[in-house]
This record gives sequence, structure tokens and C-alpha cells, in this order.
Amino acid sequence: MGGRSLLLSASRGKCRELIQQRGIPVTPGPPRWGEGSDARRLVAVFYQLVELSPSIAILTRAGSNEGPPHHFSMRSFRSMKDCVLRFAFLTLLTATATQQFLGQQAAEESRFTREPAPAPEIAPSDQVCTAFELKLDSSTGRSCQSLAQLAMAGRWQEARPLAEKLALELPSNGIGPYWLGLIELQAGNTLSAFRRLDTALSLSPDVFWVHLNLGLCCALLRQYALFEKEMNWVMNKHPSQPLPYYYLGRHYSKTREDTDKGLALLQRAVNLNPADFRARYHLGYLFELKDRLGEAKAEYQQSFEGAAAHRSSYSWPLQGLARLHLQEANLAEALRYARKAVSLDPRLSENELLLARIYLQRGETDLAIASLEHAIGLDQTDPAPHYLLSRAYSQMKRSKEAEQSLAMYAEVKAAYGN
Amino acid sequence: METRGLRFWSAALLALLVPKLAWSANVETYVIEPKPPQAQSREEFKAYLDIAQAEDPQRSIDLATRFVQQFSRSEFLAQVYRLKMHGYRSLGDAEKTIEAGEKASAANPFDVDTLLTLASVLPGHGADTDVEKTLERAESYANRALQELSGLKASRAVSLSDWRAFLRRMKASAYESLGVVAFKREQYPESVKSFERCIQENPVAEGSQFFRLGVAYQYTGQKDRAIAALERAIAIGPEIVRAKARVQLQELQGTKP
Repeated sequence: MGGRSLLLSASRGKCRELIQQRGIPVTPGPPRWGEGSDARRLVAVFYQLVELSPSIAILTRAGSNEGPPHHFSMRSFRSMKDCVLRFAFLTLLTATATQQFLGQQAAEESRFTREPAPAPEIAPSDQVCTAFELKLDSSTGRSCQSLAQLAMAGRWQEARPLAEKLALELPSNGIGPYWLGLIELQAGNTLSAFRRLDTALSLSPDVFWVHLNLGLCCALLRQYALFEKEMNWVMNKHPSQPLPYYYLGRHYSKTREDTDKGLALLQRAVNLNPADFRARYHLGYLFELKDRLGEAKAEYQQSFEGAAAHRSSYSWPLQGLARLHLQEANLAEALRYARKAVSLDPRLSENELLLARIYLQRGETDLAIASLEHAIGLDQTDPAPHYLLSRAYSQMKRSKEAEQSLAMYAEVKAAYGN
Repeated sequence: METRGLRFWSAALLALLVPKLAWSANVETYVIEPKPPQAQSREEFKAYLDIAQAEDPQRSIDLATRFVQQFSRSEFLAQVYRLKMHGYRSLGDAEKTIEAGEKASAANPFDVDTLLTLASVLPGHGADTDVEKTLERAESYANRALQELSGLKASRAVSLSDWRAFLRRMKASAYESLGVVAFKREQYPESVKSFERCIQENPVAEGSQFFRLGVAYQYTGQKDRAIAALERAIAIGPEIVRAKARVQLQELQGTKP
């Protein structure tokens, strides 16, 4: 039995033994569950397990209709809901307890499904301008290079008139609509971006950067069939370009829930561009999901170093490192990385949320509450901080606030999902 | 209540059909579909966007007709029929609104926008011989919409308060339709309950709903409440509602010449 996998092949007693072997302290479950049967007790143990190692895979029955009733195997946390439902059935748990369990599951699962959204891919100025067959020393070539520099500097509003001028000057070249598409994409106007990039592609059908950004735009519009088409076009025509592997890797692992294919694609992306810290983070993340924690740690570390070398505020690898330390119950290191993540990107609600989870584990409830409130302020669509806030208030015996937070959790989850 | 009077008030209640339901403009931007339809080509997606972004309802209808011919196996058919339904509704063509709506509903039976629109349009439509059948369909659509509402997911770009308001407006629309159905069945107390619930749910006071409630109160003999509701309808408007509510109020108070 390797890593964190666990097989409950014989009895509940065996499971308890395995949990104890792993050094997880067994304390009574929530009082409402009482001190009933072994089965109830075991569910309380699982509750502890989830609380202590949120990312840990949880017991789920192996196969839908196969095996004896108590034959479980560990699977990824994605199957936790299934496990809890089955286990609740087996142990005749009350609906309330099951609900609480599922609430925890949802709150934790969301930590692992939210990822940074794609942004426009901006090519180096000489590359993009020559790709559209512009002479770099011509006036349009110079305009194109200026546009690329403005885009790199994030000065999108200044770029717009220049892009419009370029579109008028070169009506049969895709360069103008291409830049206008990126400007719209960056502004979040994905439909306008799609129209512009589609025009750019009609005018300049062989430019790699148009296919790539049109594909990203389609992904943002949740047009995944079109996204895949564009990425596949790029992979076929430019097999040494790492970006389509990176985006397809993310797509397969998240949208299609095919972690193996996602992993293979991200590994290819990293092989083609070892300096891509985003690809490394996502690769590490998939390793983490697959319980290959050593590899996950190595990728997170390299991702962090790569981002630091680029002076980027990309804080996801720090979050990953903090999560891994949290799983190892190394709370001091987890806290150090989580604080670093917050200071690097204080606008990212996930950073505050992770920090809050660590504070909760350390029993620093006041600090956890402050972080959770901050996380809610940064992202009001995430149900997880509301759930954790209700737990924090419960720990402080502030039952009214706990109830309010739980109600908010239910409402936010109903509205936005996990 | 004599039949002539009932017919008049049924007609009066239904004459308030507005070109566009208050919430429907927000459906595309507010609601996230769990499994969005997938275009198989850029042309297909552009053709869909052309319909969705057309400002002229007739153009939207024409483009939708062309889309169905060109992409007969598209995953966007439910959306396209829905847009066509709204196009016809904007033009005030109830028969074709229902026809397009029922095609949309056949393609996606869970689409709340379609269900609510059909529930709203159906009671005022259909031959006298199958009124009850029509009412049953309207009632079924409204009830299904209420069931489906709880499963809708919001776009993360929408704030929770806006989402709450959006859901409440949709609920209000379903209860309004149920109120009209009950009224047409001469089940006036049920009608009052549904209109009251409609007004209670709706975060934005709508004159037409107060007007309907006022008429329903009148039919249950609650004169004071009827007057209060009609006065609210006059205060809120719009002008078409004001005019109808004034006439009704004068009649109710016995001041009509």
C-alpha cells in the first residue's frame, strides 16, 4: 500500500487500525452524531480524516455493484461524494450528518478545481509582426511592434487606436483584427474578441498566434470543440510549440476530467519549454491529484523559481507548496508558503483561503476568520470560505454567525456551484 | 359571475402581454449551462451569434430560420428556437411564439426561459374548444419552470444580489402565469394567492401584476384590497396599465359615467 492509498478490504476495524497506523488522532465526531455504533464512530473518524488531510482520497466502494458491502478502496477526493452517500446509507447516518459531510467535501473540492483563467497570449513583437508578413522597417511593421510593446506593458487602451489604424491601413491582412481581438479578449469582451480573431483568421489563415488566441477565446466562451480544433491545428503545424500542449493539458485535466491525458500533455509542454512556470505549476498540480507528491513538490518548486526569475506575481506554486506541507501536517512550513503567496498576490482569494485553512488547523481561529472574510471580499462567488467561516464561528461558540455563514454557503453554492 | 364579464376580464388580464418578459434579456448573460452546446465549426457559431446579437426581431427570426436549414443537427437548435420565440413575442405574434417555444422545449425540456415564456403566452391563446387543455399546458410549463429554477447556476460575473433578484423575477413570472390560469378556470381564490405570491417574489413592482391582482381581488369580493391594488397599478404604470386600471377603478367605485 503506497502513498496515501488505503484499502479497507475486511472490516471497519481494519480501517480504524490503518487510520491509527497513519498517526491520525481519532477524536469523537461532531456531538450530534452521538456515540452510537461502530459504523457511526467510523464515519466520525473519516470526518477527522477529511479535516486533517483535505486533499486525501477518501473511502469509496470499489466498483458499483461488486464486492461485499464493506469492500472499499481509496480513490481521489473527486469520488468523496459517492463514498459519503454510500457510507451514509450503510451506516444509517442522519440526513443532517450526511449534509455536513457533503458540505465539507464541496468546500474542499473547490480548492482543487479552481484554476487561473487563460489570458491572451502575446507574442514577442518581431515574431508576431513577421508572422503576418510585415517588414519590420516599414511603417506598418513599426506600428505592429509598438502595439506588441504596449500589449506587453499592459497598456491596452493606448493600443486600441493604433490597432484600428493598422486595420484600416492593411484591410487584407489579419494583423489589425488580430490586435483588436486581443484588446477585446483582455477586456473580457469575449464575443467581440471572437469576431475580431475570426476575421483575422480569415485574412491570415496560417498565423500560429491567431489560431492560438482564437482557441483561447473559444475556451473562454466554453466552445471546447472549437478550442480543441484550433489547438490541434497549432500542434500539427508547429509541433515544437509548447503552448497548445499546455492549454490542451489544462483542458483535458479539468474540463474533460482526463487526468492521465492532461498529465501527458503538460509533461510535453514542460519538455518543450522547461522555463514555462505556468505549465510546471499545472503539471505539479496533476501530480498532486495523482498522489505523486514528490514530483508535485519538485514542479511547484521549479514553477516558483521560474516565476520569481520573471518577476511574476504568479503565486499558484506557493499555494501548491503550502498545500503539500499542510498535507504532511507541517503547519509551520505551510504557513510560511501561504503567507508568501498572499504577499505575492494579495488579490487572489484562493491565497487567503488557504491561509485561513492553515490558521484553522493551528487553532488560530481569529486569524482564520479575518482571512476568510478577506477571501469573501475578494471573491463572493466561492462557497468554500463561507463554509469554513461557519466552522470557525462554531469553534468560537458564535452560533448565530455560524448559522448565517452556513446559510450563505448554501446560497452561494446553489448559485455558483463549487 | 356572468360569462360575458368573465370573458371581458380574462381578456383584460391577458391584454397586458408585454413584448418582452422582464428577466428574459438577462438569461444569456446570467445563466451558465452545465453542458453548453458545442458548435462544430466557426461558421455555425458565428451564425448563432448573429441571431443572438440581432437587434431587429424580424431579422433574428429570419436568421434563425436559415440557421435551422443550414445546421439541422446543431446542438444550438434549442437556443435558436428560443431566440426565434422571443423574436415572435417581440412582434406580438402569439401563435408563432408558441410554435417556436414548443420546438425549443422539445429540444431542451429544461430551459426555464422557454418554459416561462410559454406559460405566459399560452393562457391567452388557443381555440375556445380546447381552453382547458391550453391552460393545463400553461400550468405545467409554469410548474416545471419553478422546479428547474432551483437548479440554475449563475455566471461568476453576476453578483449574488443580482442573481437573487433575477431568480425572484423568474419566480414571479411563473406565479403570474399560474394566477392567470387559475383566473381563467374561475378559481379566483387560487388566482389571488398566485398573484400575491408573484408580487411578493418580484423585487421590482410591476403595474400589470397589481392590476391583475386587483381584478382577482374584485372577483373574490375583496373590494378594498382591489381598490388598493388598482391604485398601485395606476401609480406604477406603464400608461396602458394605468388606463385599464383607471377604468376598472371607476367601475368598482361606481363612478363610471
